[in-house]
Amino acid sequence: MSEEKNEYQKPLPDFRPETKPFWDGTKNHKLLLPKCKDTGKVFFYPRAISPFPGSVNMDFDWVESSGKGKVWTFSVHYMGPTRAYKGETYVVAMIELDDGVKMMSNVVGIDPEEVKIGMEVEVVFEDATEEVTFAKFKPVQ
Amino acid sequence: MIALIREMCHGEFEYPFGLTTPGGYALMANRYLHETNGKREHLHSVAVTMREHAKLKENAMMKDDLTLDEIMGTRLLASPLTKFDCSIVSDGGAAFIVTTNAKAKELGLKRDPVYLHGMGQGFSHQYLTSCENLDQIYGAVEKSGKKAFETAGMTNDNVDITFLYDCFTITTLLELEGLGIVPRGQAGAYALEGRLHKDADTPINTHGGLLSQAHLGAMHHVIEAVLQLRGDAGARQVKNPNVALVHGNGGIVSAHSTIILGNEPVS
Repeated sequence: MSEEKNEYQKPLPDFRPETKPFWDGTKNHKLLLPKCKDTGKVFFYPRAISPFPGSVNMDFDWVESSGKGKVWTFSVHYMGPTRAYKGETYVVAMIELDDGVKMMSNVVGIDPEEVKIGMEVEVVFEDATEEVTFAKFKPVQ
Repeated sequence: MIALIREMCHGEFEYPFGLTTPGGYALMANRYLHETNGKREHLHSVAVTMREHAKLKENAMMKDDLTLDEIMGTRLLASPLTKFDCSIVSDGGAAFIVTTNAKAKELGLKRDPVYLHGMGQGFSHQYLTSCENLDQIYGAVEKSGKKAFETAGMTNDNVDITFLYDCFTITTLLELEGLGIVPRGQAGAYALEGRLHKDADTPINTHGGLLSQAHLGAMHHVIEAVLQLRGDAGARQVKNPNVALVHGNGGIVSAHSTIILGNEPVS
């Protein structure tokens, strides 16, 4: 009897070359944020060139986030963008990390109807495929 | 509308989390309700008013009765939005001719033209992830409106009728406040109180907008503005409007533009 391979059916990231350190980080279950060497500020999403005015540099440090933050906003999705989401109810959220940046993710490990703006969350890593691990967020207990 | 999100959100840091097109606007809507201490009804009542207007517009796509109760009882697509909070999908065409005052006279037009008095633009973010807060969006809307008013030599007080880009109920509320038409945080209450209706004090989108008439960008907004300014809006006519503001928006509430039209020539 053949073993059914659980292939990840949902959209995978559309990788850009400059973001490799981020995804290497999540694969190792670390949330790394790019830091502009010029201004000393962290930013998100990772880009090829520092997004801060006056700084045209492409050389970044990657610093580890505490992975803690709050739900800045969210929406319970009852319908997904592809067939792979059929029948699922899930939460898409903008998380405001304590590091001072926002990132989009899912809030997991909680009934979607219980999620609230301002809720404290922490990062949890979801291995989607052998190559790709997503940084998602769950409520702090 | 499902495929559209692929163009509008970040393919690496947003799309993989299952964001949908209504979802992107829903994220902003929930934040707005949080900051204004608002409720779902504030959003849905925009759709109710749009339907009331559409019923009076001959070519409107949606004319069935629509009540707040019905919307509250409809399933959510992405909280707090229902299908009624989203613009309709349309295929169609619309046209208007733009020319100089001199050319219009030379051509000897049958109908009086309407005059372009001012225009402006304002931009916020490319992706939601780079939108720091709602103030950033309000700033883009405000900048767009300010430039339009400056170039027109007018203020909000001159505007008799407004056409807002109602791709989703939330965009309408953000634009009303960002343009300074209603005080910050109060657009939802205005909508719920029916003040956006053609017979009330802050009439918008007398054609039914993107929510009930059709979605062909802001084309029909411009056309309805012209009809209103000419006194040709029939059952939808508001009393003697001289100046109309038309506002457009793209991205996820990120790219804004405003024009001011008047039935008097530019002096």
